[in-house]
Amino acid sequence: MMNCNEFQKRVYLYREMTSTERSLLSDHFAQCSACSKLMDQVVTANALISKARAFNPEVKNPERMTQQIMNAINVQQRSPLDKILLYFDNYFVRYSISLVSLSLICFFIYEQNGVSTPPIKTLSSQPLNGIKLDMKNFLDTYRKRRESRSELNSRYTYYKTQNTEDKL
Amino acid sequence: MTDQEVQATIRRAASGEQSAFRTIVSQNQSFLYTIAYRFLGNTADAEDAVQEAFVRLWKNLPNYRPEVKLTTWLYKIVVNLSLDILKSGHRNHQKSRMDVQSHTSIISAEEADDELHAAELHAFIQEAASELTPKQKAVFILRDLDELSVEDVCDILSMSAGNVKSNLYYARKHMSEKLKKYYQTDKIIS
Repeated sequence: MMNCNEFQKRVYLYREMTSTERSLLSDHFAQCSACSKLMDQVVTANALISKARAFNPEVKNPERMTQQIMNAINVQQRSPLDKILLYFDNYFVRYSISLVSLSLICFFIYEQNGVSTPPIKTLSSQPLNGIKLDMKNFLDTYRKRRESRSELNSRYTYYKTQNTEDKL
Repeated sequence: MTDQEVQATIRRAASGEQSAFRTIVSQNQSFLYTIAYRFLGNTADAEDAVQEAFVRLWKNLPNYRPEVKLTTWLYKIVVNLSLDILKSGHRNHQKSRMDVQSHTSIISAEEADDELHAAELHAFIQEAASELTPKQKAVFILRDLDELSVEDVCDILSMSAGNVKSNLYYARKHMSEKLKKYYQTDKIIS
């Protein structure tokens, strides 16, 4: 069961009510003079608003106003770049670009922290022509290797001849 | 102008044809001005809002979807612009009052008593509506002065039906109380 406060709230929304709600309200008016009085006040206010509706403020000089608008548009004339950009002016593109930008920023920060990348060795700033090749040391390695190889060969020849003599 | 002719004019304007856009402007500027004036209460701000609304329309015409009525789209633009102006506090209260008086005097010299009364009432309602919040004012103007359906008001203001009704309740309650004082005074004078 609705009380007067609820009915009074509905009085202001009479135009938006269904026919069932209106008849319910009418039944209540028959019993409640306060709500009925409020309804009269709202009806009078509606009548005054309807009267005020008859006043339509009009443009004093429509031609001048049209011309002013056309001038404003000429100033704002769209360039070919504007026309292209206009097609991208929607929420999907805006949010996509924001998402990609955010991802790139996150990736950049992650990379800068050096979590995934191996340490980078810095190269010497000395010029290469500053290095001198020590030929004696360089050739020594080969000489020693050659000597050890010839020594192995002579040992091999010795064992081979020994084996042949034993067999005979 | 039939719907097909309107659509054809919009398409031509969207492709950059200025004469077609001029047709749209001349056909719609009057009703847009009325809405803007009801929100802002003075000629200068209302004219600025209308001009800006058409500039925005021109910029966004390539995105126009034929399933949306042009008038609804224009309503949305001008109402949002007017609300922005109201929220920014740009509106000069004193200026508004003077402007309403100047409108009244123009009508009183030329028009009948009924119209004078309508202008006076309009000025009074505008004064009373300036005490409402921007949302309440918008709902009141669109529903009670422009007589739009609740669905259209929801669409223009991007509000739910419940939200519209709630704002409408507070707006009507306030206006009813103000108008009660008005007609009581009016009765005493007459």
